[in-house]
Amino acid sequence: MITPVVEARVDGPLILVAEDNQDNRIIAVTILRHFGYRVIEASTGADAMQLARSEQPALILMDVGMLDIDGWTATRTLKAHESTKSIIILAFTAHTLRDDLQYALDAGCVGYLAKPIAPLRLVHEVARALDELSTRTG
Amino acid sequence: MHARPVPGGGWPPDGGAIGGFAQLLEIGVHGPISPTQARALERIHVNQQQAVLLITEFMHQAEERLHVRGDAAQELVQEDVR
Repeated sequence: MITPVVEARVDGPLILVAEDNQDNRIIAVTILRHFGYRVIEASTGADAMQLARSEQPALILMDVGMLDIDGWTATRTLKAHESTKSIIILAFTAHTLRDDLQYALDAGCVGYLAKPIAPLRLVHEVARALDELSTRTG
Repeated sequence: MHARPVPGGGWPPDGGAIGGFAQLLEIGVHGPISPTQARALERIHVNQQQAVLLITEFMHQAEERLHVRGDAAQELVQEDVR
């Protein structure tokens, strides 16, 4: 039996889950809401970029393989705009390249999560990324 | 960017998300589970991992034998599975 080790939050930061695979999106949204995060969803790159601009989430989980606008392009675009450049972006990738981390960092992500999604690992990585941001910004 | 896709990342579904849904149940996201249910979930995990390994092996075989790479191999395997 797996025991959750992440402390649940109440009315936590807003997370945007941008993922075109319905199963992966359900898993990510469900586990994040369970731990108290507020979550919005996008199933296309275009929707993700629009929601990022309008809702200003604290963090985006960005699938890199979306068909209309891939996650790398969406990330570079968001990082190039003043209103969205401070949003933390974690990449979701189904690929197994050794240089994935560097590729994610070059695009503007703080890191990446490999698929298939492990729910508790996802929560840990989100919490860590948000904690690092709050440490940096004081 | 050339890369090898892995189960759990694409469409149609390839079994990779089964472990994720099972872990949500184990965590208690949908309510408490009994010891019997927990044992059943452990078996789901074991079998899901074996299924993913099998699919991955199919993909590797498809790449080697049909001289295709990445997404093309995954599509061929998914057609065979269907």
